[in-house]
Amino acid sequence: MPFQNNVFLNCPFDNDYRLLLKPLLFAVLYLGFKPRISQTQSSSDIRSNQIKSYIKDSKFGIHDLSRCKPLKSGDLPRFNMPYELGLDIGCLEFGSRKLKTKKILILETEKFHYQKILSDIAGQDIENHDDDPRTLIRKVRNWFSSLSSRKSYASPTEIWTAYNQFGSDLNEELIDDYSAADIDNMPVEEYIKFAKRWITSFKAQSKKTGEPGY
Amino acid sequence: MEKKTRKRIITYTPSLGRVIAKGARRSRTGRFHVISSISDAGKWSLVSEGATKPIRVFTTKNAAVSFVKKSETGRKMGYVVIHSSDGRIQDRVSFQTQD
Repeated sequence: MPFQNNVFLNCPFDNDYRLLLKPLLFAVLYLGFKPRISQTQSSSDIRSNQIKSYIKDSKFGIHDLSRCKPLKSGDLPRFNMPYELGLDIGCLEFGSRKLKTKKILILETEKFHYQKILSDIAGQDIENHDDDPRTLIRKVRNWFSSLSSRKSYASPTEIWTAYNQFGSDLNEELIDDYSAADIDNMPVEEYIKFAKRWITSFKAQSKKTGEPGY
Repeated sequence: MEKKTRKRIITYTPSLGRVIAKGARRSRTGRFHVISSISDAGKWSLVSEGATKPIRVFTTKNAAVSFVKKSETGRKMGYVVIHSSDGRIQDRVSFQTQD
């Protein structure tokens, strides 16, 4: 997949974030892009190299900083995500001509929260999602749309509606053999493969029949 | 029963992917979804399976389900999948109507 279709996703994998990670992945796929996300459990060296490779190979970067805070009282804040954002911005600033075309979107829960924790990122594209998957889909879709005039993008309603139906089909087919928790905790790479195939089928159906009516 | 209690990792296979993708090709088969509206906060969109445009928007999920039951006379069976506001499946209501 060429550089201009790759989207580096920098976000957590904990259960708390799954309700946002899935719609984020689905929206990126539905819009015709390829998500690049590192969920490897390998050594930090391998993971770090994989992240650098993804950043270098991706025109787009979406960085969700909403989970940098400690998960519970007594925990330490998590800095992996701001670190990876720094790598991506550094790549854009100091990289080759191609890398200077990179586009970066920073997500957070509350508007202007970044000003309190990372004020130097002012000037970047920063959006808040309120921890709501619908808002997340709308903001991500509108960001892609604002960057390009090459084509019209599916509406937020279309993506959200398709996302809900995909979740239903996934559950319906897997629930006889797997528990709801197994389905919820499906590895990201597997989720991407199922979603990609489903979206291809869904779009083919829409093209064939037009917008199916009632 | 044992398979449901043990944690299992789901792996994509082309055949499983094909089965799940089949669901995307269904339409006008008496299957509906009630989905939280992305444009009207607090409201619920009724969508027929395979479609992306709502049939109608309701103030409650129950009103959407009632509408389907009333409208689907002539269809023997069908179901409505009710989603929570985060997209997860909350309930599935089957219906049967009189001819």
